[in-house]
Amino acid sequence: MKITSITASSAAGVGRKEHLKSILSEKSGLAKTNFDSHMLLDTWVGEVPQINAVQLPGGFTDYDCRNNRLACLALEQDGFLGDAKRIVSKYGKNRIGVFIGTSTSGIQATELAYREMLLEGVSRLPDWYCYDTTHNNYSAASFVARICGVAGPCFTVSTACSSSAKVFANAVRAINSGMCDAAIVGGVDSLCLTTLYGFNSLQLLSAAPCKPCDKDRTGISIGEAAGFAIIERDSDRGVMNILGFGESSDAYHMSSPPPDGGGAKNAMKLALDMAGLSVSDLGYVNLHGTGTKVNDSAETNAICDLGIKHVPLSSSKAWTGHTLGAAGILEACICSIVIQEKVVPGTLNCECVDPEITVNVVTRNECVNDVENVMSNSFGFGGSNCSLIFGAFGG
Amino acid sequence: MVDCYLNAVGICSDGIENWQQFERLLRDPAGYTPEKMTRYSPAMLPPNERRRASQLVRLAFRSIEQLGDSLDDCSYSMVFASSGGDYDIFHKVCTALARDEKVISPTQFHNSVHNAAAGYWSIATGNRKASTTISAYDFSFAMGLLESLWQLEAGEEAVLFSCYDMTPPPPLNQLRLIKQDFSLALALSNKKTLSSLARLSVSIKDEKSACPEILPRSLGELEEMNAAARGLSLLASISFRAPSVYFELEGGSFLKVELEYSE
Repeated sequence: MKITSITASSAAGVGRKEHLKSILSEKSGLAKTNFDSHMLLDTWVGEVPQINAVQLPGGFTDYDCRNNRLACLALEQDGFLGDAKRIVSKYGKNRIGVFIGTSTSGIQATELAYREMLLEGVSRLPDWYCYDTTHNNYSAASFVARICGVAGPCFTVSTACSSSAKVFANAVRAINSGMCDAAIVGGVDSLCLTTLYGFNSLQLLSAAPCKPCDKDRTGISIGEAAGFAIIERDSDRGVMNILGFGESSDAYHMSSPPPDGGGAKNAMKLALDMAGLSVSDLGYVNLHGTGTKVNDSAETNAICDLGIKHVPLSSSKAWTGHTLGAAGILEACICSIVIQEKVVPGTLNCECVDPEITVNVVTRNECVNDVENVMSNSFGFGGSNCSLIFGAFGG
Repeated sequence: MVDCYLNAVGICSDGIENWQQFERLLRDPAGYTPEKMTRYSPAMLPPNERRRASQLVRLAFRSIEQLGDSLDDCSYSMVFASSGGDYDIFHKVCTALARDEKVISPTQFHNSVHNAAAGYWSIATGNRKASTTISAYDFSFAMGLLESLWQLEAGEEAVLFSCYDMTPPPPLNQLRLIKQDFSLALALSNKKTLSSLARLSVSIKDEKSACPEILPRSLGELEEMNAAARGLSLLASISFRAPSVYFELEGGSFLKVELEYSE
């Protein structure tokens, strides 16, 4: 199946070109900014400051929240809306599915509404607050479907940090069932106190910019991002192919993986099997690589177990922060840059790879002659794992 | 068109205990007294996880655990659907974050993810197969059913489909009024068993043909206000052996479920 359009916006850039530029100049988007003056944690975040200038199109006032503004910003990049229009006229609006990943949707609107309510000492939420079209998880998928003018099967996938990786599987299944001809997939997650203070409560937030796989890594930096892709069964032109996906559950713990990364290994193995590839066929792996001790070692243990020894691997989280439910689509977009621009991004901020990590973690950018097949990993709370395999466009 | 067998049903709400009692209720709707459910203690969770499980997770488990042996080992994948997730935790977290101290607990945070019930269920059973959790607001039941059938079509032998929605506390109930908790669980399979209740064939239609109202009026309010309870009309249709049932989708089209029975 073909990915015929892809875009992403994060702290590392708005649209694909800016991401490529950030990668080539090894410039991180993480900063000690304060998107909300009530955020008092000592941490770095991957903020997309352009959100503040976004105005949703007329008729979408009820959808106005940080999350949908970020979605709107991302949809406007790389000609994505034009591509969406093209598939609507090609297949008809009812034959296009929409599957969008998010972990917290527009919960920030609820945070602000509660703050105002408690400040004023009343027991009524403010009039400007719309729950259905902001905080509710479906808001993300519904917003994208309406903006793109499609009306096929539509839902939000919310499996924490694997959300917008898993949507590729939903789309492929939907198209293979014959009930859709094409799909718009993607994800969006925006900064909010819930995730920042939540990860802080788990003592997983780093006070310094995250440094995945480094021997002195101290945890994650949270970021925000949105990204979208169009999947069609066939097309003459496109970005890359989706060759396989693997989904699995850890069945271990709500917020940490088993040390051997067993669930992650299952997901990667299923993806390779579906793609009909062996590990030696991979040219690059984009790690989940959040920068916590436990996550990075479980993932790299699983990769080692699979025999992926020489394939260049890296985490792009130090460019963008961990964008949670948007990580899958953002990193799929980075994979498309790897395939098309023939550059493997290094693991920014990783100065000295943890000696316990025995796989090939790339710390500086590498130019490569050819990358045919790449894998991207996304793992989330609740033990939800998803690995995706993309190949160069063609076939 | 995609199809599957429905091999078992779990269901619970105020005044609804399980499939057998629900079928009796359908035939004696005047006897419906929605008494509040008591707190449920999931039998399959290890003690530590049981202690941490939120009300929403308990609600999901309450109907899933009724499926018993119909869920064969761990050979099934899992689809969970909830229109709104854990309103109770959202209320607590947003209240805490509005205060200066901003203290939320690690358990609260990991329970706040939309896929909490899915995580607890895989821990309870050791099931390491694929699991997804979706939301489609008031269309969550229909979309979850559709995703379950897509998974079966893609080669899964069996799928657990769990759909649930809880009562939001004030002040969230000012904007999302759900007066009654509800959860249902369906054991769906490519294989017919001795206990199969019906064969489901699903397609999307632009229009629905007229069909008689099957769900008794006393249950209509529950169906109307709780998105997960939209599944009630499927269950009532099966109980009365109706040939088909329609679910409204966003944008005005319909999910048509055609039903076939063995005898």
